[in-house]
Amino acid sequence: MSNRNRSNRQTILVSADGGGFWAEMKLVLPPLREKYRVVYFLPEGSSVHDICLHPNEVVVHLPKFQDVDHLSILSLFGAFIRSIIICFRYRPTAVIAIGSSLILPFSFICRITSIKLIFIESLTRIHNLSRVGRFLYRFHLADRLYAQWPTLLSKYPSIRYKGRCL
Amino acid sequence: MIFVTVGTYKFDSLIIEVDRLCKNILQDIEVICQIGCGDYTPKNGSKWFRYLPNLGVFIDNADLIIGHGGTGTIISTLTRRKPFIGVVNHELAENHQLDMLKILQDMGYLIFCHNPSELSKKIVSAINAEPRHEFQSSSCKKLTDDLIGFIG
Repeated sequence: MSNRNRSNRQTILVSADGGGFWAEMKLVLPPLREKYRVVYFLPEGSSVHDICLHPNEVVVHLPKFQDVDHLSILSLFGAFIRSIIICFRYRPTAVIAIGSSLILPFSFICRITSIKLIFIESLTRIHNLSRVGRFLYRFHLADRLYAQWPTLLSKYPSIRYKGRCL
Repeated sequence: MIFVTVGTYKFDSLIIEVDRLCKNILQDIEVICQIGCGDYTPKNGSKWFRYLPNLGVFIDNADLIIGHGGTGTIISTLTRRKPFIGVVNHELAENHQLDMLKILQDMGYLIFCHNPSELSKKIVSAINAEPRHEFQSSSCKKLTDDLIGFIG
């Protein structure tokens, strides 16, 4: 069964959530798609826009647990269970998101396995981290937390800055 | 052609101002507006629509894009190397978008417009603008190299 994991390419999970976040992700993606097999994760009811999926790429969905201001605990729990199933099924090396809180459910499974959790703060965040960013930073849930502006370094010293997507 | 886009929400004060300008400085210029769920519809000759799945064609064909501060719009415009006027949508009041527009203006990527009432001035300066700081597709190489190095 695991022989089906043929091509020794590693798999990464990539968030395709959010208009602006996804626009940023599309700039970062090309070299990653060349090197890894990409599995895109999205909130239920949405689909991947503006790119042609490679034959080995797949799209998975998570229950949407957050609206603008409203957080549904039940859906978050559902998303959390789903994240475990997804990781079990696709065996990713890393989970990556730009800006999107949809990465949150993965933070637990990434803590107890060797899957790397990588969060890139959105381009709009110049002086403050977003809520998700702050949460991941505060509880050390990300293996790598990138900011796209060096202005954030003074406030959050352990953040990483390697330029921006634009 | 000038393409005006407000994103997924609405931005009536921008559309009203653009529509007003269609009677004077933009009289002989084709204007196309994407107005989202706005309540005001253009009346002075510009074409308009609410939503379309892909705005790329309009951006490709435009000589100037006027839009809100959304990252998606900014990225699709700058990666196509088109001049862009980013107008702050105070109805949404997301301060971090305002910060981004300001800093990108300082870097020479776009023209920042704090209020739709300043729009005509900004359009004139966009037309007479110096060559802009252009987007390079290699600009995120440092970031992606670092990511790949870390993922292994």
